[in-house]
This record gives sequence, C-alpha cells and structure tokens, in this order.
Amino acid sequence: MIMLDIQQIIPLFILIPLLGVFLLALLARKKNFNADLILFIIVFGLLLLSGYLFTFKTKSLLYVYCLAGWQLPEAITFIVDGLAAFFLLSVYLITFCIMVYSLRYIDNWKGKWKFYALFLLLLTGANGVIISGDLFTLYLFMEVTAIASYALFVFSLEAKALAFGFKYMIKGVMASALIFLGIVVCYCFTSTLALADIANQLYLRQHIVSDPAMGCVVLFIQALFFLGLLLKSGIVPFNSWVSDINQAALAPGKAMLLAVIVPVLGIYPFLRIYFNIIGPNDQSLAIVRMFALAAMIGSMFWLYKTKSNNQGIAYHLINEFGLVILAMATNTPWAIFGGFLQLLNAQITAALVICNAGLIDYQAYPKQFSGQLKYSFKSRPIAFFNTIFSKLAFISFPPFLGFWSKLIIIVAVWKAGYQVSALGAFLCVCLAVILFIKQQRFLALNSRNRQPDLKLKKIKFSLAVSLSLMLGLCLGLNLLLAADYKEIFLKPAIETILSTTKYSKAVFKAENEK
Amino acid sequence: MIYFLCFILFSIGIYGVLVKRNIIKLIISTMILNYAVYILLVLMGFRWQGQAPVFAADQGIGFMVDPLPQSMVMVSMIVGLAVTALLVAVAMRLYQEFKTFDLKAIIKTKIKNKPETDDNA
Repeated sequence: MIMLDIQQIIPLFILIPLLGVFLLALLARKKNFNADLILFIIVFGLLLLSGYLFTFKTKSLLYVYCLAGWQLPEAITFIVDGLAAFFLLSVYLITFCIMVYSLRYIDNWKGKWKFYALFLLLLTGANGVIISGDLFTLYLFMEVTAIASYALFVFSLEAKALAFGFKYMIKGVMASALIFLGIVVCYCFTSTLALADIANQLYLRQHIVSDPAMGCVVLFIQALFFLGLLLKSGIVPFNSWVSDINQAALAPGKAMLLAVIVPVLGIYPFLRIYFNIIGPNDQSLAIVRMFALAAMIGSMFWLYKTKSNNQGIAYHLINEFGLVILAMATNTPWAIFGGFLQLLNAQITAALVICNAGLIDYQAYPKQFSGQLKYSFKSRPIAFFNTIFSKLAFISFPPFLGFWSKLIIIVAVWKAGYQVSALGAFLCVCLAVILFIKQQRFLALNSRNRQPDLKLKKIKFSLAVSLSLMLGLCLGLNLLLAADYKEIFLKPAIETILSTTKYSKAVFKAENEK
Repeated sequence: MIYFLCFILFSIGIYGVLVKRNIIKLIISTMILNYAVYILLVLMGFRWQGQAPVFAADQGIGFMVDPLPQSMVMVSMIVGLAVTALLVAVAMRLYQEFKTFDLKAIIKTKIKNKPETDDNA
C-alpha cells in the first residue's frame, strides 16, 4: 500500500479544490462534459484525505508544512493540528452530504458548473482558513471564502437574493476591514505574522518583559478580531444576515453558508486566536460566557418574534452556536468535549433541516410555495419521515447527538462551578426548543389547503440519499460518545484548546523535527 | 497626527456603512473603510529617509523600509477590488430590477410587498 507523506497531504486541501475550479471553467463548454463527476470525485477524495489525517497520529497530531522550504517565523505555513483536523473532517462530512443533495437540486437553475465552481472555491477558502499558520494567509482565505459565499448567495439572481445578498456583502466587507485592522495592529506590536510566533511574542512581553502597553494593545486587538468574527458568524446582535440567507439563498447554498461557513469563519478563528494565540484568562473567559448566554437569550427573543419557517431555523441555529461558545469558554475537558459534539450536531442538523425545507422549493419550481407542506405518509414516505426526523434531530430529541451534547455541556458547566451559567443555558435550551416547536406547529396549521392546485415534482434519488445520509450521521455520530472514537477524533482537538499558548512551542518543535 | 487621520477616515467609512441607505454611497463607504486600513498599514512600514529593501553594497539593513506591509497592502487591494467589482455588479442588477438605489426602500416596500406566489420562470 502506498503511504502518502503527511507533509505532502496538507497543501492538497487547497490545491485539489482549486484545480477543480479551473477544470470546471476549462471544460464547461465541451460536449459530454460531466461536471457532477468532477465535483463528486473532488469532494469524496478530500473527505477521504481528511479522515486519513487521523490515521497518521503518532504522539500528538501536529504537522507543519512550510512553503518553498522557508523556516518559521518567516515562512508561509500550513498547520494541521487536532483542532484543524477535527474541523476539516466535520466540514467534509457535511459538504459531502450537501454536494450529493446539490447534484440534482441545481438542475432547476442555469449555469450548473458555475454553482459547482463557486462551491469548490468556497471549500478552497474554508480549507485555507483552517490550515493556515499565519494571520495574513488566514485573512486572504477568509476573503476567498467570503467572495465565493457572496456569489453563492445571489446565485439565483432573484430580487430577494440580490437585495439581501447586497446587505450580506456590505456586512462582510465591514467585518473583513475590522479583522484586517486587527492584523495590522497585531503586526505593529509583534513584527510578525506567524500565529505561533505571535503567541510566543505576546507570552514573552506579558511574562518576561512586562510591557506596560501590553494590556491595552491586546485588548484592542481582541476587540477588533471579535467584532469582525461576530459579524462573520452572525451571532446575536449581528444576526440579521443569517435570517436573510435563510429567506433568499438556494437550499444547498444556504446549507453550506450556515452549516460550514459560519463555523469556519466565525467559531474556528475565534478558538484559534483566543485560546492558542492570545491565551484566555479568568476575566476574559467570564466575559465570553456572559456574551454566549446573552447571544442565546437574544436568539430566543427573535425566535419568539418570527413566524417564518426559515428564520426560525436560523435563530435556533444561533442559539446552538451560543451554547458551543459557552462550552468552550468554560475551558474544562468535558465542557470542550461537549462543545465539539454540539458544534458537529448543530452543523449536521442545520444542513439536514435546511435541505429538507429546500425540497418543497425544488418540487414546486418554477412556482414558489408559501408556507410549509404537510407531507402524507402514503403519498411521499421519504419526505414524510425526513421532515419528522430532521425536526426531531434539530430540537435535539433523544437519542440524537444534540441531546447528549447539551446534557454534557450543562453538567460540565455546573461542575466547573458556574451554576448560574449552567442554569441559564438549561433554560435557554428548553425555551428555544419550545419556541421552535410552537413556531413549526403554527406554520403547519396555517399551510392547510393554501395552494391545493400546485403540482409537485417527484423527489430525485440523490436528494433522498443525501437526506438519509445526514439523518444517518445525526444518529451515527453518537459513536463519538464511546471512549475509543473520542480518543481518535476529539481528544487531539480538546488537547489543542487546553494547551492554550503552549501551541506556539509545539509548532516550533514540530517544524524542527521535520 | 497622521495615524489619527487614518482613524478619522475609518470612522467616516463606518458611519457611511451604518447610516447611508443609497447603494452607491454604501459601496463608496466600504471603499473608504478599506483604504483607511491600507493607509495605516503603509504608514506602519514607512521609515523617514528610508531606502528600498534591496540588498546592495552601499546599503545598510537599518535604513530599509519594511517591505512586508507594502506587499500586504498590494494583495489586500486586489482582494478589495474583486469585492468592489462584485458589489457594483449586484448594484447594477438591483437597479435594473427596482429602478432605485435606495436599499431600504427596496427591502421594505418592494420585496416585502411582492406577492408570495410570483412566477420566477
């Protein structure tokens, strides 16, 4: 069996999807050109590669690739550690399901290959954000992802998509400017861009040199990054674009944006910068916990106010991400374990429920169906079961993964001594579920016989397979609760978060050992 | 003082993005926002009576300007240009569709009042 060197695998996560974009653009006008096959091979191949990263694990999962043979801190580096490997795997698990869904879904719209090219460009950017080892490369890949996501948002060119897409773009540009300003200030202060070196410099100034300006500058950098990342991730109070996406974009596009891009552009950089570069302390962790609770309460308020199915999904999802941040800010192994499970569950259930809601748009096309269709078991058994089970998975009904992850988080937060936060999280989770059920019931009652003359297409095989895959994942990922699987897939990520700024030493050591 | 001017420019950009409702003014505000950061970055790499960062026999390393901010600004400007082009393209489609540049009016009146069962074929 041919064993690939891990250092050679790392840049493939950027090169392969980028090659796919060029291939699609080059071959688009050829006769008998099968864009579906190219997309399938690339995404499936990258899914296998991201799983392959875990088989390499020796002592600790940490690999450094320096571009053009340069050395840290001058080199542009790509780093795969436990956190990056977990995010890569989770991204590809979900992307694979969404890709299968989009194969037939996108038949209704013109320029199928363009959608696929944007899909792969989005993946290139997301991979780049996850594996980049310096701040400027991180920013560049964030911009690549953002540009692809803007185009995916407005892909249908419908009036709603254009107007809401424009709003989303303006917010995205503002977020990017804030993050770039943060990078500029950080560079001025540390004279380096490599993440590991920045962590090193900040540690030296804090603990050895005792720089008096340190506190203010770090606080300013943190504020700029967090404001930018909050805008990118759409957490309350910057949540308006999330509900806009759910109202206007095509189902595979919005599933990618909410289930993949929000965690990759919002939560991943937050974890990396806050835990591994700046380093948490008790005061800042308390502020983050308070903020996470406020975001959960805010999302409940919006959930209470909305009567739209799509907006309801968006606000419930914001609540789920708020719980992830609360878990991470508790900073104990069990809370972080629960946080990762919760993140994975939120991503998969969001993709599932969005794709399921998108079925009706696909079936009714070119007409628009207003409201929510009540599928009957006799005429459409697949859609009937999927609608019921996707909603159950989304509200974390046991035995779906979300139930266990929430339980672990609330118990871990309580045991860590933050009883008020645990109680608040428990109340928020329960209320969000009640509000979501109430809102869905309201829609179901309202939709009776609203458009009885609407002819619906049959659901294609690939759509049904994709939804079944996602449903299977919602149940199958319960395996991560088992000690063996936790050890392989989640422990390296948990260790990366808990190692805080020791990440810097580990990266330099891994680079020297190459 | 000059750094403070960058901050003022940045604030003008933020003000424009938050307050203006005209699509063209919004695009210009985002450009001002980005340029403020670019100028700040160029200023950070500036050195009084500095020399180009090219090694030569008569050139000491201490007099060279920092080349990294300059290259960062170049790359960021290209990215910013791509985003601006996309913004302008969407703005043109919006104008073709609604015959107005007022984003608030488009969303409040034209989209929310549109019948839900429109034929989009």
